Amino acid sequence: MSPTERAVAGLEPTRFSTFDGGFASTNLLQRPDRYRHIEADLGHAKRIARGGGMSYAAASFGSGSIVQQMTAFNRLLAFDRDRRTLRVEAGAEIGSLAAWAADRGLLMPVLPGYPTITVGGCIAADVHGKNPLRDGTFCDWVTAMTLYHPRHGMRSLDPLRDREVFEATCGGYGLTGLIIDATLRLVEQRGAAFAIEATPVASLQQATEAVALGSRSHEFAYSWHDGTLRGSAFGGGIVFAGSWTGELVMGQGKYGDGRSSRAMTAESRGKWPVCLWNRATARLGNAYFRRRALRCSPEVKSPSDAAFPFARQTLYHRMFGRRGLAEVQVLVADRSWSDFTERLAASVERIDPPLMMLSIKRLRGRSRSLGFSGEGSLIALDLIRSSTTSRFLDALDTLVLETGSQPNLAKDSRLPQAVAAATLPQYESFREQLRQWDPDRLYESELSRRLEL
Amino acid sequence: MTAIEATGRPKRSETCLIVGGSSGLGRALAERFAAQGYAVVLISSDRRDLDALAADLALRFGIESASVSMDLCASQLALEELERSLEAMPPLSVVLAPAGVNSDDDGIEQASSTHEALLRGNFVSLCRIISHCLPRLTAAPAGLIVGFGSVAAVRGRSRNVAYSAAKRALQCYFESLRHALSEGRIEVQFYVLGYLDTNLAFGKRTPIRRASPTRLAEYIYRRRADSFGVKHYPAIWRPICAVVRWLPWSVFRRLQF
Repeated sequence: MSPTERAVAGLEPTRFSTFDGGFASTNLLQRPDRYRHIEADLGHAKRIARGGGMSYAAASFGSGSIVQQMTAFNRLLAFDRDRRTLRVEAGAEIGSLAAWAADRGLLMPVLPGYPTITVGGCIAADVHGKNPLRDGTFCDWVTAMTLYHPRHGMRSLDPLRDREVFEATCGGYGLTGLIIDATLRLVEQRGAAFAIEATPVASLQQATEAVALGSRSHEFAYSWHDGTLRGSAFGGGIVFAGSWTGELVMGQGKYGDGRSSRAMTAESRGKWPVCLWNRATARLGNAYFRRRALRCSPEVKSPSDAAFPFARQTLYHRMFGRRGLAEVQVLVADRSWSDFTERLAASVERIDPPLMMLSIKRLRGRSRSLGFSGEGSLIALDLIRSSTTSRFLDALDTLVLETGSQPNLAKDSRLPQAVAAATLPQYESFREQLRQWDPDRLYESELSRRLEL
Repeated sequence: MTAIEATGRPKRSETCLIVGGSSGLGRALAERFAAQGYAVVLISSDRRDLDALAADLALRFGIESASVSMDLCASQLALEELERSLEAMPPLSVVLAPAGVNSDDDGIEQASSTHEALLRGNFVSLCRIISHCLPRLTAAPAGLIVGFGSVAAVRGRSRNVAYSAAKRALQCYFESLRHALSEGRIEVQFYVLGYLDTNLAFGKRTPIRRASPTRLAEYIYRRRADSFGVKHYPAIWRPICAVVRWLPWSVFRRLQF
């Protein structure tokens, strides 16, 4: 190699873990920080891009793949104030982008829950924000992107001209290649803070109606439910609905706070050796959360604290310790919702899993690659890991299959292939398209192997 | 958009030139000085990396930025393009030269073309660029020139032959530069660097933890007005280098590092 062509950045064995602690492996890490590192010849080695590494599933490592850490590609490339578009490299963190946009009175309409998640990660998992019924998913706001694949080189993708590859990359979990940059549409920020009202609800059904209403009348609406309740009390919780307000917020978090050295990572989340959540602490914690939320309502929160509630409050996730948590998120169509919730309640009653909390949002998905399709209620469940949890998740898989619901791949590190194949509308066509685009299947992760993509 | 709108702080009417400014320490320095309102001119080999960083600095910090694509290992340098860029910017007051080029093939038996390229990339080209900028720097009310060496140059070994030789030559050049400019208002500083957490050292086993380039950039910025000749960073390398330097030949010749 000539001194002017120090092309391949070094590779270093590194331990990676999913955010939920459910899967970990040691892979070779590459940290490209120049374009020529990206284009370096890695031969036939499997590889996969990694951003913030906050996915609950092993979408950015595993299967002996070289992990290409894209966080050095985090530069702002172009800003069109009139069109409100920002071209940015894929490794840029959404927290710092949101802060930059907020300084200019602009807002990223779709922000997932943690500020260190990168633009590339948002596109790869086609994440949703606080009001996915109104705002759709992240890729609905992407107007162009650049993709690199050794077979195809650097490709500028236009959503109309290159529709197939563009759509496959949106929600394609990095399997079509390296997302280099993207052009994002921003919107005007219409207030200084959010006023968030908390309303108690007695059941999942009541919550769904309130969330559906709130998603149309407010900036966002979602529910939280105490997972420790059983019997007729199951489903009891709170519906939160947020609206813009002009009130200034003193002493609250700003965008970018989660970028501090104390920012939680998938690895640091599981640093504590033991799980401090058990049935007793879960009851206590949930009771405290419920009481505080109702007492403080309406609570005024900065846009940052509203968008990234766990950026400054990391205790909830850290308390799951090394063993981790199990999270499942499922989109349930309206026609199946009653059946789903009744059978869910019955499973909870019968198996009695260590369920921490449930949450509901409304969502409309555009059926891209491995993403959601259609409108419905998006229900998330957080559980403490145990053998009972495994049995409960098996039962939940059956429920998902029988109700025709759709699981969120990014939120579940153990989702079996059979469930994904049977429930995701684009599974087969995406799989076929991948083989055409990349016959060597260079881009692989534990997720893609598990799901036989 | 003005600089004040973009960053909340006024921009300075000074320019900082960074030779090797597209990644690693160079990028960290570019971000640090741009954050303080300096206009920035970046020199590096790949136009894509340069343009991306220049755009980023302008958008995030509201400063003027320019980039000059230049292969420091080549015998011809695009000094005319550099001149045009500097002409369009506020007065030049800072030159930082963190550029470094190494090779796995830098052994004693290597072809002379490899050695020549390494000598140019680590020494000759940097001297030429600094010399080219000296008239502008001496015209500024105050100036700063910072060079970067390596602990690898403390004694000649069978590895990194041309790289170490070039870095030691560069340190000597900076000593001369400091001596020549001692009567003026230009500070000349030289940092002897240990392992940094950049792609130069990534993937290699290092006996001492790699230092953060961002923290080093902060360190350099805070000491930009200090008068010193040479500093080791991290400081632990100063006694280590002293020990290695004074090791008897009978011991040193047996060391494999």
